[in-house]
Amino acid sequence: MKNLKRLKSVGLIGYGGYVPRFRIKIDEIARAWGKENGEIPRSLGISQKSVPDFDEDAVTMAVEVGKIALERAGIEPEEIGAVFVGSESHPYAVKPSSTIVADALGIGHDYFCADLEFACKAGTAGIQIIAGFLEAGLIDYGLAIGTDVAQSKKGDELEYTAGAGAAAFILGRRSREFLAQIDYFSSFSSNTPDFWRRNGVEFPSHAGRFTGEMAYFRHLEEGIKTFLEKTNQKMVDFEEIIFHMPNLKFPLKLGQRLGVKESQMRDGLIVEKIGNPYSASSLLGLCQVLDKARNGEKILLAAYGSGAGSDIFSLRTKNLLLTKRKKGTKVEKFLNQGEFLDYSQYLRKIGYL
Amino acid sequence: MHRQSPVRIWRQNGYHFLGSFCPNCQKTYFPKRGFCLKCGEGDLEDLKISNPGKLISFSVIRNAPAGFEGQAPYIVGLIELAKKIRITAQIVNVDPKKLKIGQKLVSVFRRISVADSEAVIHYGLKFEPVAT
Amino acid sequence: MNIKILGIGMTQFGELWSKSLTDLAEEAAVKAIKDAYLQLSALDAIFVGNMLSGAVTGQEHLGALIAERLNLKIPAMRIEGACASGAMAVYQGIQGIASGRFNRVLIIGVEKMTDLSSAEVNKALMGASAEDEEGVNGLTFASLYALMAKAYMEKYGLKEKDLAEVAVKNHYHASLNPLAQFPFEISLKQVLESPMVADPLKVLDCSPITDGAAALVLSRRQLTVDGGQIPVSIIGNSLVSDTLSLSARKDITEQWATKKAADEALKMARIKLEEIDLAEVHDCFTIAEIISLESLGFFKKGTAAKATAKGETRFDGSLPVNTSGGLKACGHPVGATGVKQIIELVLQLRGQAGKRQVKKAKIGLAQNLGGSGSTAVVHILKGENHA
Repeated sequence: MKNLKRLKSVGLIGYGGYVPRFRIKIDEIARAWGKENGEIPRSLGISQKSVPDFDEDAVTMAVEVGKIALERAGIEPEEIGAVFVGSESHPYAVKPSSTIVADALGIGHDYFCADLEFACKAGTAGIQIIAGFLEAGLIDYGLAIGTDVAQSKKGDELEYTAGAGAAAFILGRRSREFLAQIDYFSSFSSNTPDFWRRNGVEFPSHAGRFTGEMAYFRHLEEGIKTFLEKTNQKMVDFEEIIFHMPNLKFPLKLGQRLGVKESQMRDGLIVEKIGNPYSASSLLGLCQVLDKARNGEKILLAAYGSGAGSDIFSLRTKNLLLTKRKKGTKVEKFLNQGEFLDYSQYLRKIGYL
Repeated sequence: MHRQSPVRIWRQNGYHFLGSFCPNCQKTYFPKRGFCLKCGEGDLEDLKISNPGKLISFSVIRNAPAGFEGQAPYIVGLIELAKKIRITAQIVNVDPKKLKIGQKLVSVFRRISVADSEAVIHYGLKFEPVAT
Repeated sequence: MNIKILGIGMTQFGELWSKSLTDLAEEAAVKAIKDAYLQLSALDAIFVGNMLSGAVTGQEHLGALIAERLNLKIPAMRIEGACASGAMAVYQGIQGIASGRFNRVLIIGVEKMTDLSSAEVNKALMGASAEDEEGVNGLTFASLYALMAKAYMEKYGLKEKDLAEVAVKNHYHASLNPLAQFPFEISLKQVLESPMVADPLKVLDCSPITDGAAALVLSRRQLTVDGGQIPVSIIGNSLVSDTLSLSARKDITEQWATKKAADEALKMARIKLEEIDLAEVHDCFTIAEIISLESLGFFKKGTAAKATAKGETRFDGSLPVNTSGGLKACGHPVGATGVKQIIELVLQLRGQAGKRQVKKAKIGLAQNLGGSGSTAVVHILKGENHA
């Protein structure tokens, strides 16, 4: 295919984001590990990250965001015909999170379903699958969720950024119901071992500096460049641009390389106050953009998942967004709240999981 | 550690506050049941009891029972939902010193308990203060 | 009703590590038969009150277990009603006699609780609650009564200090009872400074985990043993069921089942409440004694705490309550408590209560509760000494 097919009937009907209440300052983690000279926080650009309560997990957060998305969409849960929950912290290795979430939301029994994993792009993969179902006219509405309680080895550099959060999107195919229309999406995939977790092992491993150029940057830059070519678009066309945010440094550097202005990225940058909630990272950025966008704005969303691949989407906001978004909690509320923990309290919260 | 039967967890399904409604004599019951006590009708309809609820009483548990040891201290409360239906549940996301009897609470989906690393996870509903 | 209590017997209440459930039951039974100047072979049936045997040791079928130990091949059964199991066993024993089927029955209330950790016992005790709703959410019995306490405090202005007075009084009584688990006094300060269990209830507001057994030999009126014990009669009783779950209860600041059971028992005994000289009341938690006293009708709603603080419920007050030390200080081996309450009344009505003797004790009332107030059993006893 030379050019990407423009989607005719795929749009966002509802959306919702959630970040758990607790926070820990990066400085506090550094202090616990004897790294008080501030080197680590400064290089990441993050000041704090979100911490789940001991009774929260990827599934409980997915239910909360599903509820918010349903409130904004204003549809009956039984109308949803597909549920895909993407995460790298599904509580079960075998037994889908998606059916637990569907049960809790009252979705009934008539829905396509499977759990997804592709590191931090498991949620966007779900959006792509549902887009396919909608474009083919097989369902009326679908629910895609990216949710993670990000895990990391204690004392590892990942611990400074591994946060928790979730975002849900309900998609439909009737344009009069769209809060935003999805015009195109594409993916760039490869077999790259930058970050992984073996079955039965509790914490992920990563290949250090290899996770930069050959992983995050390569897949997003090439993926976006190809996407723009195949859809005849330019970076300057987009009022809002959201990249996956493993920290603050990477997305800003990527933006620089692609000639993106700070004003295009500002609304989607949610990483400084909550860290990296993996499958919910770029999606929470999208939620915040939707909370603030005006009618008729073009959005570029580019998620990256280790292992590795990128999912790229371009969307256009609609007038209905301005009224319907009032029915749910804004991401800003979660960004501005937070009960701070010390390192021992933080261990207690996550140790219980 | 005593593990709850996965079948029992499934049957209890505490993901919703489910009552029953008798279409014949219009009586409402909570929790769900099989037969109407008034007219004997067996074809009762499911009825979702809605949120938010009002706080009737609460207490902070410091001595937890087996299966909940690591969780203490946690708050439990008696909450009145629609149609004067009351339930007991845990209350989260609030400092107990700020809780007031009569306050409005809304349900949230959380882990209730996990017996061990191989057991089915028991999910259910807890309550938090309604956002002001 | 006129059921004779021929003999009483109980073990020490406490942490009895080297005694099994069967050991405890045997000891209480043998003591009761001896007290009745009878042989075991004189018995027609055994009624065992016990709640936790299955949960603690996996042993059910207690009727057969205890009958084997006593070398008796007579009808034997276990009755369970959570913390009211003891009084329920008495109630069923009386039914057996009243039906005409049995002449003399043995009632044994027994509980072995210390084989498990306290967290495990607290979980097992939730079997007395609406497990599906209360146990499953991590509630404990202390928290159920704490919910009642908080609501009562909100309604009547009760303070934590008022609750503490109940514990102080019951410990004072226990210091005069050699079989009590905690035969020593405590101060108000100690109660108020004890660690919080489920607010507002602290450790010293709560009855303990206890091993123990208590037994009675009951007979029909015509079969009193000549030259035997001073006879005491049960002249009325009642068992009332209220909702299991606290959430389905109409008013959590009262004990409705207790109120109804008291009314019915008094009616059956043909006496008025004012004629009651002393009471054994279910103080699983300090708040429970306060609410129970009001629901029994002894005090107006919202006033029982003040009366306690004034000393009205001490053994030398106008209405002695829990001269045994209550559940708090005598101990609470769940299935044994209801039987022990009756034993305490018998000692008082016989004039055998030693240092804690209530003067001129003629008529006594025992109230035993199951769960958070789901089952209430009330027995009224009359001493034959003072005709």
